[in-house]
Amino acid sequence: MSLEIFVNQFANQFDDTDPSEITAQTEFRKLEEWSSIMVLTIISMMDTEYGVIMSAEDLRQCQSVADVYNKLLDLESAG
Amino acid sequence: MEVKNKRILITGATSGIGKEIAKSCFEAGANLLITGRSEEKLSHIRQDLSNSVEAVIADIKLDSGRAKVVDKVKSLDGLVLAAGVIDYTPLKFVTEKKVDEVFAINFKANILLLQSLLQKKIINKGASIVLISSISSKVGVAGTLLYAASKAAVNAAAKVMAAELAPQKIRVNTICPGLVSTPMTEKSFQIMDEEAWKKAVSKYPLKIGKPSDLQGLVMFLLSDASSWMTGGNIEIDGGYSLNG
Repeated sequence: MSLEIFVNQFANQFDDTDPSEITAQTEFRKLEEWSSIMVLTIISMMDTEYGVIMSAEDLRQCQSVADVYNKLLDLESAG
Repeated sequence: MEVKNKRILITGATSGIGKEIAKSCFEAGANLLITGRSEEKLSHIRQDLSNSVEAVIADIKLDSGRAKVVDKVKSLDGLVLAAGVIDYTPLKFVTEKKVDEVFAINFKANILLLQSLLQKKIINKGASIVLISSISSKVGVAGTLLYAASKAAVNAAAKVMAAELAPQKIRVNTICPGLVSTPMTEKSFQIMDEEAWKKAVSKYPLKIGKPSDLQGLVMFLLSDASSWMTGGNIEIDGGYSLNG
């Protein structure tokens, strides 16, 4: 999985945000559409698409979409 | 609220609400049969209470697990069905597998266990069945679709069972707790962001609950003090429902 594919997947979880607005550097919490349900959505995406259990605390430590991608890689390698 | 010498079965007794109810029933002199999946946890509970407490290691999602429990039971005056799981999958990520997983324990396992016990005619006349539902079954909290729906199914089933079992003087009531601090709801804190958690907690005028906050109501429902009560669906939620 590449960062580019991950960014696309991440962007696709939003309904009212133009996917082109979301890049690896986007600080996702600053997006108007970001909410507590988006937290659940991203956590579920990680579980469904990658089989990785990410906690809200893991997500809280991330600022950008690339941070989330790197956290995913960390969790995958940790098994 | 006497339950002394009553023969009571509790599922999901290894942690949280089920464990606390098991403790209360034991202290009140009930003859207990407890079930759970973890041998280690059941063993700890027996050490804490007494070796006279009968325990069955069983996964009641499985036919074989339910059969193990039914084989062990001679007769019952009360049942508390507390086995369950929580889930926070938003609709966009709901899958058939997830639906099956949540309903398998929260709904199917408990209902099919009751079916088997009834077929074996080991639930005594005058017995009380208490199902642990959730306030989630009555409100719309984002992310709780499967959990809330499975508990709403329990509410509906309990009403029907109450009607079907009334001729045998077997009572069926459901309790709908609000947020109670248990190992299961710890998962909520891990999944919800901090802001959402604080917002959820702020909706409880009497603060969020402890498992011991439910014991009085459950003991009342198990006792003959509630003998004219069946089909009830009782909210016990620290005032959460006051929010409308």
